[in-house]
Amino acid sequence: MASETDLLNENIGEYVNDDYKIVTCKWLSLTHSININEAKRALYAFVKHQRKMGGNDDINVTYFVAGLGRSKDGDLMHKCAVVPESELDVVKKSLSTLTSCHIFSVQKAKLKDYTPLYMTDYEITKNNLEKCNSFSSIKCPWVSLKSANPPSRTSQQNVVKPENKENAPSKKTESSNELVGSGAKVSGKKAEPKGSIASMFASASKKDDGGNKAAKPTQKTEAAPKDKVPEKKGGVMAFFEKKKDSPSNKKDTDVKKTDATTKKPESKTVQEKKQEPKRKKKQTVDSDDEAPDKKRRKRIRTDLFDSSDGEDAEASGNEDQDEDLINWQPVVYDCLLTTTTWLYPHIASAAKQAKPSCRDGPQVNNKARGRRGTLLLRLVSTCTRIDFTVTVVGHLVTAGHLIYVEEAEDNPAAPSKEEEERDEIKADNEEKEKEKEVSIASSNNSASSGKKRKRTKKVVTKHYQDEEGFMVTKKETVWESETDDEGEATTSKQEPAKTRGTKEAVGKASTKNTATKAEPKGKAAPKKNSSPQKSKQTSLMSFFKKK
Amino acid sequence: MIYSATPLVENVQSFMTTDTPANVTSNLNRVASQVQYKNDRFIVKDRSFNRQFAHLYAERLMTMRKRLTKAATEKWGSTPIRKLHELVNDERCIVIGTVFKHMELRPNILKEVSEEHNLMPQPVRSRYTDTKDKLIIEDELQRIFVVGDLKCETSVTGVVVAVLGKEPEDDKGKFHVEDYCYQQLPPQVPRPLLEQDKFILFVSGFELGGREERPFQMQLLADLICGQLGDMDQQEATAAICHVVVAGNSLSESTQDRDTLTKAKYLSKKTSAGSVEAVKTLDEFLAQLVTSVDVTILPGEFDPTNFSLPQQPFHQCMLPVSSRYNTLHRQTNPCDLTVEGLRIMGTAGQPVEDIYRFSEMEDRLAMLENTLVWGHTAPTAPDTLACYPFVKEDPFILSECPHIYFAGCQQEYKSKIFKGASGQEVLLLTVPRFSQSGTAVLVNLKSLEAQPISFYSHFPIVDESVSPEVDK
Repeated sequence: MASETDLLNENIGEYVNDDYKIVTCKWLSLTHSININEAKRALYAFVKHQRKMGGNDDINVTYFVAGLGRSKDGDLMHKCAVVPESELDVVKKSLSTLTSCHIFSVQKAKLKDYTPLYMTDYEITKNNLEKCNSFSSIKCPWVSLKSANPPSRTSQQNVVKPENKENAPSKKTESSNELVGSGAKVSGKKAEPKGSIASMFASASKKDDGGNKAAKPTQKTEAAPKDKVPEKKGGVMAFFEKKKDSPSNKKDTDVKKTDATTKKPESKTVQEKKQEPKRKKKQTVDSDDEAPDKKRRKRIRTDLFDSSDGEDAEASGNEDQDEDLINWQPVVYDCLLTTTTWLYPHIASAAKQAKPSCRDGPQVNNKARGRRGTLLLRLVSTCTRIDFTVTVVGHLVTAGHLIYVEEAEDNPAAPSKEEEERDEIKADNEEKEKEKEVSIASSNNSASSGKKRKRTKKVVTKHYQDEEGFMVTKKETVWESETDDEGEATTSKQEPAKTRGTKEAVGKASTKNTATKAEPKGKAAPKKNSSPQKSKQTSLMSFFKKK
Repeated sequence: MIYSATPLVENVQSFMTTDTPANVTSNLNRVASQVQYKNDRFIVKDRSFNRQFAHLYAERLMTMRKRLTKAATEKWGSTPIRKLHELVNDERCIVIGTVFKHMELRPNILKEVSEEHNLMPQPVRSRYTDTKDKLIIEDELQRIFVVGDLKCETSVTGVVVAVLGKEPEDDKGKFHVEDYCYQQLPPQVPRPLLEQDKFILFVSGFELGGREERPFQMQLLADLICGQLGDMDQQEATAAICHVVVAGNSLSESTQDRDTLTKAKYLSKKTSAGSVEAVKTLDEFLAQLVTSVDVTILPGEFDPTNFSLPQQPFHQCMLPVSSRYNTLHRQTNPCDLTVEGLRIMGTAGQPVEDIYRFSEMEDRLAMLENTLVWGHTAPTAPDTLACYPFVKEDPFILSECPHIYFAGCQQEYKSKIFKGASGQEVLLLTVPRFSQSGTAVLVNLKSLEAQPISFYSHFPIVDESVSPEVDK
C-alpha cells in the first residue's frame, strides 16, 4: 500500500513539476484508474509532502468547497465552488455550514480562471465517456445500454450503429471514441470547428474517429466493428482515410514505439490520428495548415517561375535538369499545390501527414518541414517528369540508392548529380532521414499502389485555398494515378480504359505545363510496380512505392 | 447528511488529511426510484394542420363547462346558468365561457398584411398590454363584453371561467360581473410517504452554444451529481438524488439561425448551424449524467424540436451517445411524470412567459399559480402561443392535481407551497436559467422542500503589476 501511494506521489510529482500539467482529482482518478476519493487523498498527500520538503513551494492548489450559504435574496442556498487557495478562507467564511472541502486540482501555474481546469477535465472525460463515472463514489446499478434496435434507415452509417451497440462489453476507450464518432457522424460531417476550444475538440474527436477508424486496419487492438466504419463513412472522410492510410500506418508504428505506457499509446495514437485526418480534411477546407504551406509556397512560387522556364526549355534527360531538380522542386510543389492542388493530393497529404500533432513537439515539426521540402518537392518534380522521375524520387527517398539506378536507365549522367543533390539535401536533413524514409516509404507504398502507375487525365473539380486565403474551386484536368479504392490489380485494369477515355480530355485547359509535359512522357516511362501496401487511392505515395 | 436547511454533516475535509486512510472508497449506490411518464396526450402522432383551432377551443369549453358548472353551483347555489344567447336583461345569472382579451397592441397578422392600413410592422415589445384592453367572454355562439370584478390585468385569453352577474338593461352588450370562479382544483392523490429522503434535481437553461453558456459550472454540476466531487457526507447526500430533470433551453437562442433560409447558398455552404456543435456538447454532458442517474430532458423554446406546443421530445439521433442508455428519458414539453408516486408536471416556461407578455402580472410564480387555479397549463395557446390544432381533446387542461408544478427557464428561483381547497398541496417551482444563475433546484420528495444549489468558481483578479514573489 505504501509503495503504491509513493508511486502515486511520484507520478503526481512528475505531472506537476516536470510536465507542468494541471492535475485535477478527476483527471488523476481516470488516468490511474483509482477511486475518486483516493485521488483526492493522494493529491492532498502530495501537496503536503511537497510543502514539507520545502524549497520549491510554487505549486498552486485549487479547492472544491461546498456548504450552506445565503443567496442574494437571503434565502438558504447550497453553494458549491471551486476556488484557489487564496480564496479558500473567504469562501469558507461565507458558508454557514461547510459540507465539503477537498483539493480540486494541483498545478504549477497560477490560474487566472477556471478555463484550464475545465479543459483538463473536458479532455479526459471526452476520452473516457463510457467509464467516466466508473471510479466515482456513486454507482448506479441499473444503468445499461439499450439493446440494439436496427434503425429504420438503411444507410450504412446506421447499420454500423447496432453492431457497435452489440459490442458494448468490449468497449472501453475505443467505444468512447466510437460513440463520439457516431455522434460526429450524426452531428454532421460538415460541422466545422468553430472558434471555441470545445468545438475544436469536437471536431478533433470527429477527426479522431475518422483517424481512429482509418488506423483500425493496422491496429489489431481495435474492435472489429470499427473496421466497417471507415468504409461506411461518407465520401469525404473515406477519401481522407484512404489517403492517409499508409503514411498513417507508419506514423502509428512510430508513435507506438515511442509510447511507454499501455494506455497512453492508445489515446496518443488516437490523438495523433486525430491530427492526421484533421490535417487531411483541412486540406480541402480552409485550414491553418495551409497558411504556413502557403507561405512556403509563396516563397517558392517565384522560384518556380524562374526555373520552370529553364526547365521547360530543356529537353528531358538533360543533365542540367537534375540541378534544377533541387531548385525548382519547391517551385513545382508550389505550382502543383496551388494551381492544381489536387492533382497530387497525396503529395500534399503526405506532406501534411508529416506535419506532426502537437504532442510530438518541435522536433517533428522540423522533420515535417524538411520532409515536405524534400519529399513533396521530389514528388512533384517527379510527377512532372513522368514516371521515371517519380520512381527516381521514390527510390531516392526510400533506399537512397535506387534512385541512381533508375536514373541510370534514362540518364546515365544523372546519378552523379543526383548524388550530389542528395548529399546536399541529406546534409540539410540529417536527422530527418529516418522519418523521411519511413514516411516516404509509407507514402510510396500507398502511392505506388503496386501496379503500373498510369496517370490518366481526368477532369476533376479541385477545392483549395490560394495565397489570399480565398477558397477556389477549379475544374482541372488532372493527372491521377489509378490507385483508387480497389487494389492495384483492379486499378491497373481500369487505367488503360481510363487513359483512353481521358486522352480526349487532354485538350482541355490544364493549369500546369508540367501536366502536359508529363503526359507524353508518361506513356513512355516505365510503369511502376504495384506496391504491396495498402493504398487504394490516387495517392502520390504510389510514386514512391515503385520498387 | 441530506440536502436540507440543516444538513448534519460529519467528516468534512476528510480528504485533507494524511492520517491512516480510512476506507475512502465509499460504495454508495444511487437511490432507486419508480418513474412513469404520462405524456401520451402530448405526443402528436399525425401532424395534420388542416384543421382550425376552433375545435381546440370548443373542446376546451366543453370539458371545462362540466367542471365549471359543478364549481359554480357549489359556490353560488341555484343561480341559473345561462348561455349567452339565452341572456335575459337584468337577470342575475351565471355565464360560462372563454375569456378573450382584446388588446390593441397585440401583434395581429391581419393588420400586418392589410395594406389599406399602411401600418408599419409592430415593434417587438416585452409586454403587449395597454390600459384600453377589454375583456370579452365567449361561449359557443356569442360573445359579450365583461366589466366589473374580473380584472383585465390579471386575465389572459383562453381561460374558461364562470362569471356571476347580469346584463343590465341600460348597458346592453356588457355583462357586469359580481363574482367569478374557475374550476376546482382536481382532487389530489395523497402524497405517498417515503421512508428515505429522495431528491429530484431540476435544472434548465444551459443555453449551450451561446455566449452565456457556463461549461465549467455545468461540469461541476455533472461531477457533483455523479459523485466525483464532495466529501463523503456530501457524496452520500448526492446519492439520494434519484432523478434529474432538464427543463428546457439546453441550447441557446443564438443557435437558432433564422438566416439560413434567406442567406445565399454559396455563403452558407461550408458553415454549419450553431446548433450542431451545441447539441454535440449537450450530448456529451448528458452522457456523463446518464451513466449515473436517470435524466429526463424536456425541449425548450430554443431547442431543436418543433416550435408549437406541445413540443416533441428530442430525437434520439440528436443525442446518440446518451440515448443508448436506458436512463435517458426524452420527454415532451409540457411534461407529466410520476416519480415515486409523486405527480410532477411542468413546462419549459413558455406558457408563463406568454402570460407575462399579455398581462400585467410581474411575479412568475404568481402566474404559475394562476395557471394552476385556472386549470389550464397554457391558456394563451393557441391565441398567442403556438399550439398544435388538436381536435379530440385539449391536453393542457389539468385533470389531476400535481404535487410538484414547475416552469423552467425563468429569471430566478422561487418556490411556494400552494394549498388547495380540498387540502391539496402543490409545490410551485420556477427553475432559474443555469446560464444566468448557475443554479439548480433540489426538491426533497419526502418533505416537498425545495432548495437551490448553485455552482460557481471564484478566481481573484490577478494583479499583473505585482511581480511574483520569488521563493528563497
